[in-house]
Amino acid sequence: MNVTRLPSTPGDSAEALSRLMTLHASPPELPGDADLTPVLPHTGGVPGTWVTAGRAAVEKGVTVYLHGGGFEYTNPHAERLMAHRLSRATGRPVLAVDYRLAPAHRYPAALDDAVAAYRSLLGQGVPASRWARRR
Amino acid sequence: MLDDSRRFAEAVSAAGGDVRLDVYEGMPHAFHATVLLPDLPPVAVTLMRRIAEWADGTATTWTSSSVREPPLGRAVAVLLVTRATVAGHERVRVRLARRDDTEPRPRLYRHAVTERARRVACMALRPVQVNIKALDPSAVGRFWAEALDWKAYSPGVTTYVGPSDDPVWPDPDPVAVGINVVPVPEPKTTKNRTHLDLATTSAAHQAEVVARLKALGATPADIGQGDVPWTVLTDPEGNEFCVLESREVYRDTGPIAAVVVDCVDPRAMARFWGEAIDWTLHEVTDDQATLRSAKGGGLYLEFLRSPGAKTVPDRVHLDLLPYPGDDRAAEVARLRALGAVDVDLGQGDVPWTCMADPEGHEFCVLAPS
Repeated sequence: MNVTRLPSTPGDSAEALSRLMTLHASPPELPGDADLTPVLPHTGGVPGTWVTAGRAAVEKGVTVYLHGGGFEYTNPHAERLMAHRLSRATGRPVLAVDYRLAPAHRYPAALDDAVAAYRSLLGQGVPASRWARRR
Repeated sequence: MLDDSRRFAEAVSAAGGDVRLDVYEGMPHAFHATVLLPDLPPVAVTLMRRIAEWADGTATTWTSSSVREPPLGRAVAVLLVTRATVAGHERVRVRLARRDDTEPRPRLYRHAVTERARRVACMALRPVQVNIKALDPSAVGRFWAEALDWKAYSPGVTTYVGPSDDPVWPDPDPVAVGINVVPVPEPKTTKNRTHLDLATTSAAHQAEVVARLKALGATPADIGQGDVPWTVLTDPEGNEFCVLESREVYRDTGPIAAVVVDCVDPRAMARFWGEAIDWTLHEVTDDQATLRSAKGGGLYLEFLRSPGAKTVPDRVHLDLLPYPGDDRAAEVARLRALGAVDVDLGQGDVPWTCMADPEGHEFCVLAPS
């Protein structure tokens, strides 16, 4: 299996933490090159946001973004920004899946939503081998 | 969390997937959010670069004719793993917004689908008409034509009612949904679970429409609605419909604001209908799912959570039409895969296919000609 260890110094870690704290005080704006137009018509009946950065092209594939938050939380603005960054890095449009959250929706609601969105994109001609997912 | 990530990566690898696990040692919880910063700290630069390299390694040109349903095991994943510290975890977590069901869902999908997307999504159906069964299709057709200020014509035993002055079918407007009244020998027995909502522009307009419809043969109905701002009527054969008070959301729908379908699980309906037709899902909650043509304009298709089950076929259902050049048989097969079943409505050997959605709502897939 392909595992890469990326060591850091205590200074790197401290810098990351302190910079993270500034994010909440002054969240960055969504850049002008972010295009929120839906790229495919269906998302399996699950709400979501398409974010395409700059020259990202659906011909390369799509990135599906399942945000973190312990299945309980989300920060819609920050997650949209994260989708933009992932689109920029992967060169693909990103579908940020707005899956149902606990405790209002118990397991496996979030999983069902993620799989429904995934299958929907497959059904629209996006082969799984062209996919990037992360959570 | 690190162990979970390792096990997950091993499982993907064992299933034949292309997986790479990056372990960012010593980083605080949610360190990946540093890529949101306007100027990136070193770890964020590394993260963006490694994702880009990994994505480039998997990127090749693909088209809509590529593999349609590869096994799940071919999925690829990149994982970010941190050694989270409890302190960092808590500090980030308390700042995250908590959402519950009282907060309105963001309304998405307002944008028209791009040509690029239409090219990729090569299979689709669109609702083309509301099918109403009647003892006297001619009389019911005339009622609806007068009610909507549309034109009715009878190419045979059925009566089609549409907005166009010309007797053409399907209507040249791709967003238009007409009404097709078809003859049946048996009268209506139970309340329909599909009904039409008519739009009005003001209280005075609503009163005028209700008065005009009553003069045309509509009858006020009590379906247990109580004291509501809309008026419940039935057409000459008892099909329920509503004349809505003025609502901003329906200002550009045309005379029919919505086709409303009672259901048990709006989310399940959103999943099925969001895939079955090429309309855009506007909203989905535990109580309601709303779809509309991606081209904008025209009526809404709404699924409302309602108690009670239905055991006999409805008098009112939707008819779906493939796009020119699309294969009707392939569309029917696609719907079966989504959970639709074939139903016998006594249609016999006909060029269309009668089906029911996962909750048993009947609909037909028509032939394009």
